[in-house]
Amino acid sequence: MSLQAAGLHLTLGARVVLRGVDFALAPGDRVCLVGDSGSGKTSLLRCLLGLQAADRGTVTWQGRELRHLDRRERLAFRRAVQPVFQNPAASLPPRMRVATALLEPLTIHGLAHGSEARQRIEAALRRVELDVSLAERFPHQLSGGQQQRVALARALLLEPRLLLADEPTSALDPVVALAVAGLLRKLCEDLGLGLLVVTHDAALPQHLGARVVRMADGEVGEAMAAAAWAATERAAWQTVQATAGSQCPTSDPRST
Amino acid sequence: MKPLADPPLVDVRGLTVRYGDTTVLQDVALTLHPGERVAVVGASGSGKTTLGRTLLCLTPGARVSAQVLTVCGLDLLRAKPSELRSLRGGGVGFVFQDALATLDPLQRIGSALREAMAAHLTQTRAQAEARLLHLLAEVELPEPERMLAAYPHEISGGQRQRVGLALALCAEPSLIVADEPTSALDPPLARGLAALLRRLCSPGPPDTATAPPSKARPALLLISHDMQLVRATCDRALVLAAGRLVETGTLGRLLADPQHEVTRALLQAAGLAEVA
Repeated sequence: MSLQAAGLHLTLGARVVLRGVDFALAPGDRVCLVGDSGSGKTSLLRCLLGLQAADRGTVTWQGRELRHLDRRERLAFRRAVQPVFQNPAASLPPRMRVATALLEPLTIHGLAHGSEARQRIEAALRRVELDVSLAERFPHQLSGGQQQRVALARALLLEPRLLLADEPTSALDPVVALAVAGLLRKLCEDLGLGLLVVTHDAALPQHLGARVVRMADGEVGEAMAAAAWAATERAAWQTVQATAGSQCPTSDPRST
Repeated sequence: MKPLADPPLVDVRGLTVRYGDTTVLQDVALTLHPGERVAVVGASGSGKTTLGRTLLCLTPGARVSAQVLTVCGLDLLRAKPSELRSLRGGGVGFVFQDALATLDPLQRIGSALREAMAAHLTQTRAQAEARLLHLLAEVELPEPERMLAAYPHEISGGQRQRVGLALALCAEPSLIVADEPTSALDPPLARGLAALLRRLCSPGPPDTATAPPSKARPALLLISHDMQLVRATCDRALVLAAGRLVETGTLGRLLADPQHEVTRALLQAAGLAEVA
């Protein structure tokens, strides 16, 4: 049940964004993809989701190349591998009530209808720790954190094996982001999901209990532990403090 | 020079701000002296952006009351519009979150900087051009000719944010207010801007190497929820929660011994405290 990329090369315009990338994700894995802007993280994610065709190399799901999947297989792939996007407000249909937006994937995949669907939707909302009464609201009537939880519920309704998320917490306030990260981790642990998260957040891998894979210039580097990555970033921030300007007196009694 | 004898740049006591029936800030106090780098931190909706905007009377539609509300010696509760105009961009430079939204897309960078200087400084054309080059050097922007001729969309996000900082510095302000200046930048660029802010707002006289101005460097009020940025840039912080001041102290103390749950959560989110 694994999603694998092998030897991916991708050029967008004049820029080479992926240079021979190998990557694999299976249910139960939790991986954070980190790296500077332009290092190729999002491009890799899009290739893995089948939203971007690579110039060379292959993406395979359960041993079958994505581009060779027939209609039925593609639908199964789309069900098993769910994306979660950065901006939850933009990923929910603005004119659909939450209940309708959550019903749609069940209908498309022919999984449930009527009271059965209703029960599944309520269960999914409870699983993402939302009150079921929110089902009657429109997305703009929810907070950013609630919207991202609805987006997660929508993904979970299809009983996926893998979640692929691009900066799922970066549009959220840090305190809310921390709670969503905790939920994401719990869901993956409880349901045995595989999780790939693209992020700039130095602390998120630790909150997710994920290992870190660093990308640079379109290439994938070695995996490292979340704690080691957080320590690297902390040290980089400390350099700022050390190199730029002297410290103010810290025992200042004027502090209000 | 005894710092204690300096009058505060910002003296706020008993500040309450309401929009309609919503109280955004309640009984907030803030004192900031020359040479200080102070952060206002808090979750979304805590009122930190409103606090920054109140210091420039940029809160249209709000009902503002305070015992004391003085910025750069100007009593904001009684200030005339002309006095507010010279405070905005003159005494206080503002750096906004999104430089792309701040800069006029149809105006070249050089023109924007010249306009900002002309609004606040009386100087000859030669002085203005010299100051322009000095400003770009201050914010560490390379290739000044290309930069001055560029439109905002032609330069990178990191460069745009530095142009925003140069605009804030144009009129030699006494205070820089920066509202989430790095949230649109990735970590290496954010660190670059943080180092720059910290250096430009460091206490003491300006660098002799680059600086013609005789004025001391501006103080800094940084509004952010990013505790890594705050720790790297500031010396002291105020924590807001639901419009109230819940904790204040040096960064060293807040990191070592956070008292309020919001402070702890912000530190946890930034990976600066263990998640229980």
